[in-house]
Amino acid sequence: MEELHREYSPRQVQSVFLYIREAHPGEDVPHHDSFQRKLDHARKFREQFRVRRRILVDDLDGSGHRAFGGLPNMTYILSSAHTVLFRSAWTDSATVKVALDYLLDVQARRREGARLAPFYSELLGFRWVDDAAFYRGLEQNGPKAVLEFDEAKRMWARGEHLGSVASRRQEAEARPS
Amino acid sequence: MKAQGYNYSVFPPNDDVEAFAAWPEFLKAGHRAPDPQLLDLNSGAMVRLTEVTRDGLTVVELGSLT
Repeated sequence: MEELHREYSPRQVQSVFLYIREAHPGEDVPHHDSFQRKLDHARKFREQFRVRRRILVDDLDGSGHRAFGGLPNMTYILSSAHTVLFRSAWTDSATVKVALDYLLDVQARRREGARLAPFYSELLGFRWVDDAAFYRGLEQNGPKAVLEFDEAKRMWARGEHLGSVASRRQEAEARPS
Repeated sequence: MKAQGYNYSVFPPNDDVEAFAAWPEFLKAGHRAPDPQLLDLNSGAMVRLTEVTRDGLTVVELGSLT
């Protein structure tokens, strides 16, 4: 997405990163128990990934994230009128690029005088799956993040998602910190 | 999705099944986007998202370090 930002910013496309809750908290990158911790993590994210995009940090309760639907890694493209032009349940730069090219072409055609009416459409995206890179990220968060994801995969395979989460959370909360 | 328990310490969160199930009908293309107040990490200033988007087409990625 950083590369996309570099490519499209000269074409008057802005890119921002909205910093939300930790998806896979671990011993080394724990969940946000204060706004200061959330800011510290956002700064670490900026440095580690050399992020040049403007980073906007959501409040501690995730008001912004929840208002956008609450999924862990979404992307939206918004118009200057603050209307949703594109949304994706998962961030995939190739898919975002297709949408940007289309929307910039619409803008160009309108400037040339084309009469274009909006209509609703959908697209099923396909993202690259890189399990090795994903696990490297989990390991950086701490062993707990790896264990919990492995356990969740087994749980999902058994179809035990909701009940198991509730019971595991109760167990975790009962544990001495 | 509720504020309570938002910052979960144990993966997966309680609310993700509900959020993934609701998303296909939530905030679709053509709808006005939310306008949260956010902290700009570079300047330290509080900004509304509309203050950013009014300048043109804006890509908004949501995510975190983990």
